[in-house]
Amino acid sequence: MPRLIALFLLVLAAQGAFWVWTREARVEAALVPPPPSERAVAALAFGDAQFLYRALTLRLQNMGDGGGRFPPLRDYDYGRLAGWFRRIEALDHGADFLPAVAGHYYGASPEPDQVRRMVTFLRAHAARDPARKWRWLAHAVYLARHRVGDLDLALAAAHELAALEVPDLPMWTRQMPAFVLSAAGEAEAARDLMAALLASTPDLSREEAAYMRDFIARMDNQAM
Amino acid sequence: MIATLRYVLLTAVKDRLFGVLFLLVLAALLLAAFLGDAALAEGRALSLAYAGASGRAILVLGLVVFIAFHVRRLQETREIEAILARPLSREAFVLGYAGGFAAVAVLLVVPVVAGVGLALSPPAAGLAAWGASLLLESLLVVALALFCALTLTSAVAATLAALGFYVLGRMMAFFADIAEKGVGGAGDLGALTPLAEAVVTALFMLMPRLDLFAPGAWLVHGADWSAAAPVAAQALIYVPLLLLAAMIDLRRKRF
Repeated sequence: MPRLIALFLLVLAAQGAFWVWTREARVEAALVPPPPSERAVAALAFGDAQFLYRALTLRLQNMGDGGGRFPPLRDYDYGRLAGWFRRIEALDHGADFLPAVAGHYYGASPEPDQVRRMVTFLRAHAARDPARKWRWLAHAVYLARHRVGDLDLALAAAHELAALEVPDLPMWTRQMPAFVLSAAGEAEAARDLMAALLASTPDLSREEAAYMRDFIARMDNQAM
Repeated sequence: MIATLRYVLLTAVKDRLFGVLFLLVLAALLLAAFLGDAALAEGRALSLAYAGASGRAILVLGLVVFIAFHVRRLQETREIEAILARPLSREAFVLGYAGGFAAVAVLLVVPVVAGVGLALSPPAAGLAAWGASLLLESLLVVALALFCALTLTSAVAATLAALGFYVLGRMMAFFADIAEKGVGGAGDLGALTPLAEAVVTALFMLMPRLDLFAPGAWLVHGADWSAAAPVAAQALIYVPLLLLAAMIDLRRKRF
């Protein structure tokens, strides 16, 4: 019995030594870990890509928040995030959960360069299926114009939106480049664009046509 | 046959299989609803995907554990010897028990599908296709678990073997990718590369494509009927294959 107790105390002392040795060691999880490879995603899906899409997007939505810390978005590695977005998007391009996380959550960063990455993602996402995804292109225009303040980027996205060959798009999607040009102080260009749109769209409602004429008049006044 | 069916159902009730699985499915549905509420967008779709995947996992785990331990108990109590001493062929024994376990599977699939349908209102056609596919998957799992339980002498080994086989079957999209594109990005295996690729290709050829069964996308976006034919074909091939293997193994055994 005394031998057993001595042995027990010896092993207990070894545990104490182990604590001294490892007490500084911490598991430092990266705020945004590297995105999984294509093969890792195929293995992780276990045949249910839809489940993995939802699980990974939910993880992306909550990434970094936990253990009592809620780091600001500016601390996130948006380069890695873009990799996550590309990987997850391949699992279900038709869903809107991922672009919602990109546009509404990560797009709220105060850092213009970070928001630019989200604008790039949303433009690429919308380009794959414009008939269903054109709203995300409109959201990209909003982010570029109002959150980044990059009117060139906003204008490029607005032109993409206006040029979509999707039937029954709301009129404001066609007018978007004129709005951005107006915000950029390019009143003459905005007026010309709206006038061309008014002339080339025969079946406008009376209210829509009146609004467009009013816009043209305002741009005329600004240009003078 | 009817006696076997009644006996298996009675054991499932006694083992509280139905009660426990219903409670687990209910908990999974509640968790799925909670997670759906936490999503920034498309919360119902997230709940459906989670409920579908967790319902399937619970169902498969329950069936495998129940069958492995039920068969083990038959062997420990020497009941299997008593049954086979009667004028009953070993093929009929396997078929009788497969039928009994299949009935248990049906009784478990119905509440899972009904629970998902009632709680989360997926598209009707999608739910029907998903439910039918889940039923075929669970029948395949029944045949797999019965084969493992009759072949292996330990219930734990049978459970682990069946679950390992199931997980491999569910990872077939991964193996299909390697079989098609080679080991490639998995690292340089040097001279072993052709061997590894041959093993993966053999695995791809022999294993059931469980990854095609009951995809959550059917619950979220509706049924894709073009994907239903391979699922039915795979079940029609692999269930008899496993039952035949179990019969052959049982014929070789002496009691």
